[in-house]
Amino acid sequence: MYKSETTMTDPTRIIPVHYDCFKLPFGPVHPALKEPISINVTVKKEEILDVDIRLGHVNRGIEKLAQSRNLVQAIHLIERVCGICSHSHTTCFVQGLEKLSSIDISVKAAYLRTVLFELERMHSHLLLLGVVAQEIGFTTVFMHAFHMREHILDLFERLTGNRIHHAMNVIGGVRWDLNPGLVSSIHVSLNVVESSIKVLRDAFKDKTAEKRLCGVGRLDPSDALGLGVVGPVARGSGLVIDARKDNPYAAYKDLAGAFSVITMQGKDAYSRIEVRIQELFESINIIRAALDEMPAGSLEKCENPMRLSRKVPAGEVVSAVEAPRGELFYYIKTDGKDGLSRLHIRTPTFANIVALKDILVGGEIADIPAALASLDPCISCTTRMIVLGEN
Amino acid sequence: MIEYLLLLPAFPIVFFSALIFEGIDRKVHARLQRRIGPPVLQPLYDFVKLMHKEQLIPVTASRRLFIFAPVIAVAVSILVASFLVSNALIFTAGGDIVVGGDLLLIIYLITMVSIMMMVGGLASGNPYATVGFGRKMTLLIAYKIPLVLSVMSLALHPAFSLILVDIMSFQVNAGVMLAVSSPSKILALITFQTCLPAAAETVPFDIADAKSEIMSGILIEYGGPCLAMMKLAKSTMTFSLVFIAATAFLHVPAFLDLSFLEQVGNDALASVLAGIITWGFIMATSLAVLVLSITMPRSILARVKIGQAFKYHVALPLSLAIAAVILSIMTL
Repeated sequence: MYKSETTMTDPTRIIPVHYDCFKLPFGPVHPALKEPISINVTVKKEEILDVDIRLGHVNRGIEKLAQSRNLVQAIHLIERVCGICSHSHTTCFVQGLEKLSSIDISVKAAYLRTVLFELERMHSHLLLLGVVAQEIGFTTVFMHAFHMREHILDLFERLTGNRIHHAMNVIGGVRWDLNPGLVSSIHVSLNVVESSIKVLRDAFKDKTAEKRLCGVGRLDPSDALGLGVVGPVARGSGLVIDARKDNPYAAYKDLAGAFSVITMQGKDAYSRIEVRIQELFESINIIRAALDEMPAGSLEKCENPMRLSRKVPAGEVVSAVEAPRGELFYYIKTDGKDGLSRLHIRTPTFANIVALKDILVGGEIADIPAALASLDPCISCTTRMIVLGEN
Repeated sequence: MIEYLLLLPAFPIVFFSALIFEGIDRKVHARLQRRIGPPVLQPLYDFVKLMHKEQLIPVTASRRLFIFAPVIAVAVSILVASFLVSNALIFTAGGDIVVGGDLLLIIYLITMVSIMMMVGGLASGNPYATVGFGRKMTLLIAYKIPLVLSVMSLALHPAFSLILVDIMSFQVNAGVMLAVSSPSKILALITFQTCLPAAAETVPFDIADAKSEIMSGILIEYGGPCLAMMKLAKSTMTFSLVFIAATAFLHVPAFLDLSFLEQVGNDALASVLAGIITWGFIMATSLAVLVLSITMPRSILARVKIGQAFKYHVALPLSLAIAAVILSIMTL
């Protein structure tokens, strides 16, 4: 055993604690946070009086990096914006480029993109449900959710060769085709996952889970509309917002009958969780319908993506998809020489994180992790640039 | 005073049983979650490793209190468990010496462990520990009253005392477990069991050291040997509680017929075998209580909030405890 001579030497760094009303730093390092975000909450006993959010601990400068690469390299880079919704990012980017250069992708490619998209939504939602369970101390459900998620990740590996970054999208289509063996294994996995999700749904109906989530982090529809939140957060407050219905892309126009937009009227963390559980069932429906309605025959061979990328004209385009966390928005400005002159990414978390103050103030310290997790924040994807100071 | 030397052999038994009980708890918890889980001896490995770590003391801490609180906590908790274990050991061996005090003293010493852990947390000067202190104080008030009432209701019956050995010998003489001997005792047992998760500070009542909410609360600044002592104090306290349940309420050997051992021929050997079997049943009952009333709730429930925990304890265990006391006074 050894002893260190000094620990913290500077006595001026000691901040006196006033026990009636004090600032509790929640992050940037905290067990409830998977990524660094700084939330300073002013608390009086257990009640939260004020919330101060600071982003910007993990700015990676992806937009700037993308502007220094050609378009094919940029797809690769953009896939790495997020480790969970990587397919959403590339789909959004690639379909913007396709719109610019008026390429129509084959119907089968559109269906394949949709299948991957919904599988991705399932694995993202399962991850979040596990994280929420972990935050409220329900570790068994956390283990169960992550166990189920493995089925989806294994499917990804069999479909694309990769578990996380699938590298499925190219300009003009997708990289890999399905064979009958894969289709049947998707069906088998979906059946397994569907029965497990029913268990998960019942687990969240547990009295203690309900006590922790019901009435926590209330967000009224008018506030949700004013703050411009998207995705399951908006749908949990009763707003009918879904880019798959409002602005169909890939094969969602053909599959519009296979799913409905799930909304809940509870306006709290529990209804945001419930929206996601119901969406898992809807995703299974979409995948099943897509596999049934998918055109037979093999994938049409598309033109060389490198050649296509050089043909993308100069221009600007906006593109939006419904990522698992909500509407993902891209502004793309090309220079006509196989490069980007401006790229702007607005991730769903950027829209949702502003609601944090509204849902936390008035609550208790114990509600912070559950309320925060119910927004499904993805901090690294959101952090773009920080401006320090007024000037 | 000389009989207090009998506590000495109980120290190692308490130390290893408490840590192994925690290991079994973790293993069963893991199997319920479809995990392999840590080895059963993992808490022991953790203890040894933490003991070799550097002790850091935050500048905000009041140094002496920060270090002595875990020391007192671990000393008191091992003392309590040794009272219980040595009394039960002497009883199973057929002796009639009583070491230490009665169950009320034991319950109050267990409270001392909780309070020392709280004091240590508060001495660290960390705001999270402050929140944890407040939460633990509230929880302590919530579960301690029904816990004490349930134990006290045992003594309200004219034939009983609060000395553990007396309660055990009553069960052996009557040939029945205390918990099923009368309605008031059933209520007392249920009260005791419902208070166990809070007393052992596990989910759903690990509110004071919730990791995802307040970063382990009172334990936040602890590391190294002091953390090892805090953890040992906690697992020994849990062990004491399940041991009380297994001996005072559910003494299974009471209705066991060990007369078949007379066939061994040798009287000394037969009594040794009877002692070992009795002791094995006591430990097995303790383990069953641990798994059923601590491991199971923590696997199937989410953590509740402090207000909800308080309401729960007032609504269920406290009313049960009052009913048990009233029934005991009516000698039912």
